[in-house]
Amino acid sequence: MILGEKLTFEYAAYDSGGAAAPVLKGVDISIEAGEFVAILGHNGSGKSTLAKHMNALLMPTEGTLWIKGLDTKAASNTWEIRQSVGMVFQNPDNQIIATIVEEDVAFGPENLGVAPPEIRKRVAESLTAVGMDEHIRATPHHLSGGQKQRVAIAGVLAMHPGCIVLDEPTAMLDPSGRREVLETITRLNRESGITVILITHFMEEAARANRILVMDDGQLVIDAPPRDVFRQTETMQSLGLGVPGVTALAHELRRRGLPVADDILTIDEFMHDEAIKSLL
Amino acid sequence: MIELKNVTHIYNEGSVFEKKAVNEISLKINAGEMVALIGHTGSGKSTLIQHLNALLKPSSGTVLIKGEDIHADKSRLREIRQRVGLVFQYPEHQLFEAEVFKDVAFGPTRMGLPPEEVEKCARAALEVVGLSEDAYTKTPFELSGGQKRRAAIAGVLAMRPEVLILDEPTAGLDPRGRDGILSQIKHMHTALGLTVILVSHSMDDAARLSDRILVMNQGRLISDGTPAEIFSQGEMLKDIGLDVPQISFLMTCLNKKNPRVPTGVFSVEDAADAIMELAKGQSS
Ligand SMILES: Nc1ncnc2c1ncn2[C@@H]1O[C@H](COP(=O)(O)OP(=O)(O)OP(=O)(O)O)[C@@H](O)[C@H]1O
Ligand SMILES: Nc1ncnc2c1ncn2[C@@H]1O[C@H](COP(=O)(O)OP(=O)(O)O)[C@@H](O)[C@H]1O
Ligand SMILES: [Mg+2]
Ligand SMILES: [Mg+2]
Repeated sequence: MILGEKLTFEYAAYDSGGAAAPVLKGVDISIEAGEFVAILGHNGSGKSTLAKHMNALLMPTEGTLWIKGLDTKAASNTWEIRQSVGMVFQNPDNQIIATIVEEDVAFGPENLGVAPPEIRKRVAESLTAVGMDEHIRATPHHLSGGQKQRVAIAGVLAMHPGCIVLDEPTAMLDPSGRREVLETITRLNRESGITVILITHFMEEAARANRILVMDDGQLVIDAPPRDVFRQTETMQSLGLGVPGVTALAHELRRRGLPVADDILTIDEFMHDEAIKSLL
Repeated sequence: MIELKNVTHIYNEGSVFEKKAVNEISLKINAGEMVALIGHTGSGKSTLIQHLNALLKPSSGTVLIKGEDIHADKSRLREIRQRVGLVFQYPEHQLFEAEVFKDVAFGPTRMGLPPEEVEKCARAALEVVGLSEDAYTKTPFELSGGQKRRAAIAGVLAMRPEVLILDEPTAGLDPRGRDGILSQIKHMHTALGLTVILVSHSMDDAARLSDRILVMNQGRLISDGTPAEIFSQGEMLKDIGLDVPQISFLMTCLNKKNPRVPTGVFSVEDAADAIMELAKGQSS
């Protein structure tokens, strides 16, 4: 689905005022169709820059990125790439443009020149997929933050992309909004096979992915399943990151001599750990 | 220190877009308190706090600072906004200078401080938020999301306010940035007596940092208590779109299986202490 070789990027190549220091430094990346990948990394490590490469908003200064085999640098591929990879951003209030939910979700397919009956079908399907079908006639600014983000996701789904890239979609949301969005993307991945790339600063969210990529200062430094990533508490801390709360607790208990497993990711796993069960 | 009396705020009053965002809120915040404000998106948090430094005027009700009506004397608004510093929810609403350092220095410059002092305030603030020197000369739009937020926080800290209001300051910060900035703010609170009001969607941060939590729902203030009091009402919080900190949820699960496990524990450290205590009790 996504294959990048030695991706290097400098903002200076875009606007002359930008610093000439590379912000991506030879990133090799490969993501298969149907994966759920989380990208972690400190502020300024290059996550958003990398994400913008995935739908050809930015193009590598050096190296090559292929989306479904299409080189993002070829202008003739841009259209197809933008259709294959949808983007969802952080701020729920900046993503919805229309005054009615239905129109907002229809916007993408309209731009693609999809025929009106097909558009109506896609709008209905997409809103159902994110659990917002009841709100098809609603005014977006009356929705909660989590609902707005789900409408934004529906807007992307209506273009029938194979892949969605979400850049901190839950950063501005309250706990229930965060849960709604995470459940929605997990379900889209599991049930519809959509490739999900989730950029986040919440370690608990990353724990739900199949694979985690960690960026550090423009480089990809870790590529492993969540269990292997979060077992390395100290490494994660040294990268400016952390581990989920339960994982930190398990780690601390181990450090103090209680033989808890070293790869606990969820509350459920914690509750079923033998050493914990023996205390209950 | 700050007192709200029956404050109501209605946006677009009289039009079809009329929206009562804050509904009859009365509240007192004492000097030296560290208060967290939580509530679902759209519950009125940002609207409420913009009344505390007179950026918004109540549709009805009064806001008092040290007993004085904040809107009584227009000529003092600038001084009030410097004493009560507000970091906006969206950093883009705050950053406007061409360079990060100039942006952070703007506040102290306008306060009329001598250049050396301005420089000192700005540097100290940038250090607190962990922005490195190579960011100083960048334009704010060349910063990543989290770097912008750090710059916005520094801009307010540089004015050395007596009251610091932060509207979701940790959204978009990486874990080290979040913990670092919050612990520095906590330090300024304990060491310098800074009054802090923290709006947050992170139940963990609210529990860990504050002595008092205010809960808003649909424009109303529905609860006001210590973290232990607020987070013992898990069901109520879920009903209004909130939650309890992950560790406190875990401790409640353990407590259901073994009533000797204490609840009302929020931090990893305290939870580890409690569980080790239990283990010791069993082995002896
Ligand atoms: N438009 C721009 N012009 C110049 N430099 C930029 C621009 N946008 C980002 N940068 C720089 O590129 C680097 C990577 O930024 P990027 O936005 O990709 O980081 P990020 O990993 O998404 O960070 P965050 O977690 O804060 O969102 C940073 O050093 C940043 O200052
Ligand atoms: N400038 C504005 N004009 C009109 N309505 C607004 C404005 N700002 C906020 N609102 C509305 O007021 C309510 C409370 O919003 P806000 O104070 O931003 O809540 P919170 O910060 O808790 O998310 C929401 O319904 C929101 O849509
Ligand atoms: Mg980013
Ligand atoms: Mg707000």
